[in-house]
Amino acid sequence: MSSPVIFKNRYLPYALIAPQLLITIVFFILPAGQAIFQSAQLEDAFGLSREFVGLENFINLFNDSYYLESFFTTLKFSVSVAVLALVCALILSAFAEHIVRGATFYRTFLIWPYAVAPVVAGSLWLFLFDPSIGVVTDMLEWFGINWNPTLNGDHAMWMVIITSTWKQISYNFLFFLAALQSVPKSLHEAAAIDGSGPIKRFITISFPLISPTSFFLLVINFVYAFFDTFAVIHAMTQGGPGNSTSTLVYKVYNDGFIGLDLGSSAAQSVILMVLVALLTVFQFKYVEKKVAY
Amino acid sequence: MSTVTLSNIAKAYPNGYQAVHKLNLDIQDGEMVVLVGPSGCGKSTLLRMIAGLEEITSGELTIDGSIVNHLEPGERDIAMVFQNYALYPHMTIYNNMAYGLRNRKTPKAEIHRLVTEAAEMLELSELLERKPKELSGGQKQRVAMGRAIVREPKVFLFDEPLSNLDAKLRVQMRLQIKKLQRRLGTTSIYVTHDQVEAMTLADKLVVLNKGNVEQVGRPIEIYDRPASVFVATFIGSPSMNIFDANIISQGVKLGNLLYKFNTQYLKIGGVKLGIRPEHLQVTKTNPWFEVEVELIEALGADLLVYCRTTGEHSQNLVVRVDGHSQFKLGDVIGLTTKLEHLHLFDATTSKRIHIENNVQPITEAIYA
Amino acid sequence: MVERRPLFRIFCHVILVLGIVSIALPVWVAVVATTHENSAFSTSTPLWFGDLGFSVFRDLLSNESTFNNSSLPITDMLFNSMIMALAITVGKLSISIMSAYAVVFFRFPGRMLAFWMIFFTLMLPVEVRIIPTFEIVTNLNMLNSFSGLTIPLIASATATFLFRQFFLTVPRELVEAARIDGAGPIRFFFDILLPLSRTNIAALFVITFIYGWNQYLWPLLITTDAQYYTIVMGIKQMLGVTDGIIEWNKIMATTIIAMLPPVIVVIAMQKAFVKGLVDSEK
Repeated sequence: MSSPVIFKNRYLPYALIAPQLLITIVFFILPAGQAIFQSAQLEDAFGLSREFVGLENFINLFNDSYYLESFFTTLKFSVSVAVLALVCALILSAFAEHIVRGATFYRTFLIWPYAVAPVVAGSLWLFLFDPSIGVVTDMLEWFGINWNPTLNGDHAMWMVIITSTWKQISYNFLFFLAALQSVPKSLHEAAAIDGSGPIKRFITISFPLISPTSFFLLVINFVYAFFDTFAVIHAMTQGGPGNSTSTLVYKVYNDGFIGLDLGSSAAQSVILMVLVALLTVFQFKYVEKKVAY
Repeated sequence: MSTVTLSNIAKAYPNGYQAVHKLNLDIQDGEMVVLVGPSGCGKSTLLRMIAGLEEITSGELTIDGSIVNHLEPGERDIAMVFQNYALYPHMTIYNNMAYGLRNRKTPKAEIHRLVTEAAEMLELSELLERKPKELSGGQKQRVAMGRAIVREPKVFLFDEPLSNLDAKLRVQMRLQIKKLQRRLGTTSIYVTHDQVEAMTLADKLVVLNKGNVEQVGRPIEIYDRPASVFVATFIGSPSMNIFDANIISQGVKLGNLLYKFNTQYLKIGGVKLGIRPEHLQVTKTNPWFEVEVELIEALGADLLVYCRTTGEHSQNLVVRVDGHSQFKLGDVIGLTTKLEHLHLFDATTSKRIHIENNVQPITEAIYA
Repeated sequence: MVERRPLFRIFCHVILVLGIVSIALPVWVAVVATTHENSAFSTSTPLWFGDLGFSVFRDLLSNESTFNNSSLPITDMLFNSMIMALAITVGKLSISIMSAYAVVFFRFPGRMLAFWMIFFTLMLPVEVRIIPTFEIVTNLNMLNSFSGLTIPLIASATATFLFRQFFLTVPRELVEAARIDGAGPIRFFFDILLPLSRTNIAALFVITFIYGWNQYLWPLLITTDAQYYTIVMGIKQMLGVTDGIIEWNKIMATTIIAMLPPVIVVIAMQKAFVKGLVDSEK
């Protein structure tokens, strides 16, 4: 931001920035304000009357066992997705780093799931996990597991975790690969001369050096699992069976749109905003460090 | 063909830093003016103000008699050659040169003629369809000049245009710039921190220091009669030797060694005494003072001999002698110089004390 | 490769092939499914091709058959998706590049405020402001319209930041040379900056196109009129069948049709995609 005054023009910069600002204000900032406002109100289901209730919606939420359960569901879901997606991607990228010939081929066939819509991913995996005809269901039957995600909450949870992980591996893979490739070759050569093999080198050299990337990806994966998986859950389980896969974001939608409990939904929105804000600040503080690194 | 006048030009940044103090300068038609000084002396700021890239805080800038302070750079009819060339990477060489003309709505045929001519002059004809990244540093530099030439501007501005080139190329390009400027006769302002470039290119040399003009003049005048210690040490390589000395009634005293001359017009007391390394002669008979050799650098044609005066209050100095002279470290040699090669500067203001016209030598003999 | 270890190298290839196969498995099963009659799915899923060939695709794309309860032909949904994805992409890139240009190349009162407001949008994904945004769109009469589908989604801090990042690396001298060549801000933008931003634009194009095509929650909220359904929404609708037979072969065919455009874009513009992804997180 240190470049000098370059162009002087009184109106042009405003004209240039106006469209983005207008959209930002109308569709982002106003609704956010509205959410905060509504979170302090109680409205009946027909929208006929409203009253100011202060923090009551929040207090109700934290006394609501369903909401607290949803918190834990989200946590369980997000941690599983983040860990699984990171581990799979790390393994793949660690081996991909050693490939010279055919590198582009492998990359091409590993990154495409990124482009697949969450709903589409849901559809693909729903077919595999179908309780009566699914391929995975058949395989699991061999192991004596009676797979039925429409009735078993744990099964449903695993199903959405696997689907969400499947979509996220490509993203992590690309970042890990880029980070691994930026580890100076001379370090590997020095270690090879010291007699350590590729696996040992990965553990003692590459892995510590890419820790900033790993950490950054962890945050990104959390954000992904929190917010971008709504469509997976909506398409595959609708939060069920019971509330076993009802994450916070799914619940905001469900309570607001299906349950029409606007006050509670708004309060949930506000809590989510705080969560994203925390994650964003965390990420940016960290990104600054990465620049200095 | 045009003149440029700077009257009371100053630049202050919002943070209060005064980059250029009230500065006056007249540039004649067709003149090549070189602004030289160490980094941070304000030379680039000054050039950028003339270009219109920096706002002028106060003062008046006129080109050909009309005030241009508030004109956009594109409206001042100037052209600029940048240190890093600043070629448009996505355009061919032809388009790089033609861009300014197109913006001016020059007819297509005219653009073609101007670009082709400039390309011929700069030996770029073969490269016109290439992109800048396919060119060597020297070629890029020529394109940058071509871009300036085709515009046929009133003034050329050069901002350290040779700094990114290697030493050999720099000398070649220096000659080429000089030839070109002579041939086109365009008023030019050239910024550099390299005093050799400054000396060789300038019709008029402007030495800047801390936002002030230290001296303006022909290069040789500045070399012969530097106006201050700053100019004396900045121009010339290696730098002029500066000693703390004393004027007494019989002459100038360096330590307890006296160089005799008539000092009746001078103030008695401490002065700064300057002697260029190339103006000290080694002598066996009647030396002014003796020095011990500490380090020798052989440049081929010359030797640079770094020495220290013997006796108390010893001072460091450099002597430039013939490249085949035989010296050893630790040798003690005698040095002398001619009166006309002595430069005296005021001990407090560091300004030149003019002795040329009113000081006569009593004798060429030097007394220990 | 630091040293030669042929066995280790083979091992690397084996692991990667295993990875590719497991990632591709769902798509394999889906493609196979499209070649079977729906009756093939009564007890289990076939793992090898049937004898229908591409006929399921052909029927769907020629609109000769629609699935159970859809009121909109699949080609119309594809068309809607394409319009939405392209409008979001073009809109997002345009307003982002414009605002980044303003922020980097001009100084004006309120500049930092504008910058922070744009930054703020990072913290407000659609998911956290569902209801109030829906209300605003309702009040603006933008329900069931392409403008409602696209405009609220085109403000993007990420794209603005990416352009800003790139603009900051443009050498100052280039701008100055252009000014001396008589170019004003608008001419500089179109003649110099835009051509220089080509690779960044391509990179963001890929990312944004995928984003636009895959939108789900937003269209779900604001379209009730089947005429505006996108293909991604259509899939959900097919899955939502509760009575009647699930036509897996058609569902899978539609699924594959829905994923092809973004996947093709990613693979065809792989280099730009990788650059865009990695740069936008810097």
